[in-house]
Amino acid sequence: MTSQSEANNRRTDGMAVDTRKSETLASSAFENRRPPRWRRILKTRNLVIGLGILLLLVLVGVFAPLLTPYNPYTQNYNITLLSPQLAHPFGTDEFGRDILTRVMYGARIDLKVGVISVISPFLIGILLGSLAAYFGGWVDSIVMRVVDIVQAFPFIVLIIAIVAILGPGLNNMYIAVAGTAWIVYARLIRSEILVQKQQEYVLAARAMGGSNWRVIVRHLMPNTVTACIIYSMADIALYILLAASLSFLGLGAKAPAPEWGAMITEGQSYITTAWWMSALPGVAIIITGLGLSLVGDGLSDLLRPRGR
Amino acid sequence: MNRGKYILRRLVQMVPVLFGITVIVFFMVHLIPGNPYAVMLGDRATDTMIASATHRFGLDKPLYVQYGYFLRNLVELNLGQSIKFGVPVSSLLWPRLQVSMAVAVMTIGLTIVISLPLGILSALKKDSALDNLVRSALMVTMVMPSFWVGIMLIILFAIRLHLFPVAGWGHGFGNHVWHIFLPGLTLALGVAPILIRTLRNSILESFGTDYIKTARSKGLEERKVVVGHVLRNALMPSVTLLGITMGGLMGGTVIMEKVFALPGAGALLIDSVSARDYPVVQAAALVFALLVILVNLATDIVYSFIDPRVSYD
Repeated sequence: MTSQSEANNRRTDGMAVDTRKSETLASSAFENRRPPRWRRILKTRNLVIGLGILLLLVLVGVFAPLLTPYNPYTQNYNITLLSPQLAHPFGTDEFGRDILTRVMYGARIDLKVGVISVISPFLIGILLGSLAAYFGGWVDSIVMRVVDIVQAFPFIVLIIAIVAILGPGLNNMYIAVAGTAWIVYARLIRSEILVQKQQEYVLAARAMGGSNWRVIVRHLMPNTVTACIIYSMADIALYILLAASLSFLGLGAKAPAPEWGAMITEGQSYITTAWWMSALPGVAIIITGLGLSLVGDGLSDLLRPRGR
Repeated sequence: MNRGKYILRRLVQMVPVLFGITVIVFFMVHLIPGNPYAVMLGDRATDTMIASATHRFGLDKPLYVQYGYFLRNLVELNLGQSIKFGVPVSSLLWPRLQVSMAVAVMTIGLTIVISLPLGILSALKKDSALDNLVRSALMVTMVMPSFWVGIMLIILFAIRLHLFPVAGWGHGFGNHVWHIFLPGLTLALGVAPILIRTLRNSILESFGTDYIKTARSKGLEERKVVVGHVLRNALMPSVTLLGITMGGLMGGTVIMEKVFALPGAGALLIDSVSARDYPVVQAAALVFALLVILVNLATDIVYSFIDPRVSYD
């Protein structure tokens, strides 16, 4: 109880400080437009750590042949299912392949899948969303009804159904994602543009005779695309999870490929004897996901300081 | 506008979406290049078999006529015939749907059990060690692949500790609950972070509102302020979120059913995909979408009852 009333006092104190702070801020607005450098760095700490993690993963993927003496595909039946040890820090699988090596090569596949997957939904969503918001009327109605319909399906069910029909494989996953995941970007940019299109700079651009296309691309998009860029970071992580899940369901990467999800799946048959086969590739996915969410949070702090 | 009209309008708004869903599900199968029945019947099918199937299922008619048949069958609640099992799809789907629903309900239950205390504590003790711990843990659980979490929980709780079964559905109510605990927990670990975050934010927000200041200024005990005023209002967004999550869970169970070998509708969907049993794929996708829509509608209606501030515009 005491701590709660203390919290209460701190709140009232906090509010008093807040008013004072806003006065000081207003008066010092002209003195320093930019916050001190250390604060900017602190603010973007998430971004720095996240980018660090991602850079490390990219380097590991690119230089995998130099970093490990093993080949991710070569089978060696003398050393099957070894538990983690000095020569094989992540152990070996049922074919005697070094798991750490496969996880390192897997970075190439999974990072690529994440980045490639995000491109088409991002572009399609931004295009359709801005057209819907800018022109309104029937364009908006059609786009938003399609959004409603696609949204009604659970994402994974729709992806599975489309991949089922196109045939298994990562390429068909890209197509399925392009056809369905754009709705998030369309909704994000639409809501931003609906607000921005009444702003004076847009009215001015139109009054100066700017074509619709020019107003959208040169004026509206640069001011509204931030939310989509921030979201795309979380989205890349989502697609890496999706690709892994599809591999698990037998609809993604094919057997010998060292894709992380496929490796987890292979390990599932050995959970009673070789936990490391599933566990460690999963850790790689988590680290990648963490890197991406940190970059997303960091970008959000950096690009929209008032958005919190 | 009153509540009755609001509900009616939401129902009317569903019509184009329902229509769109049937179009997508219908064309899903009909966009396959070539004759889908040739694909379904496989390599051993003779031309006569393909021709007879094509004729029997009306595939030699124009697309719009076929779509008309499809709609008519739907209205008659006829979801078609499974190619693989040779029985009506609905008789396959219905018992399995109950398994999926059970997993979804278990997930929601566990999500609430995990999220409520953590969300409330982390808001009341904002920026404390606990709050920071919860928030960092959430960042990790958010990016964990659900099937990986499932496998890890099996290794820990089923293989090492022998507390839960490795997989399966079991017999009898208590046994079912025991079998779906781990699948539910796996999914709940993925859903809880979102709920905890929402709960924490809405509690912190409602601390700053005028009615809380009023409650405090009239000398109300802090416990009563938190329980009677803050929580009552801060729970609203979480109810909506739970509804949306419930819809999404219909998809999430697909993977869990494969991890834990549960005989659910999602597992049926995956098996039918590999067996190229398209009528079942179609029906499952359709039913999943319908469930999402119904859950969303139910959420909106429940919300209109519990929050008197909802305007019906």
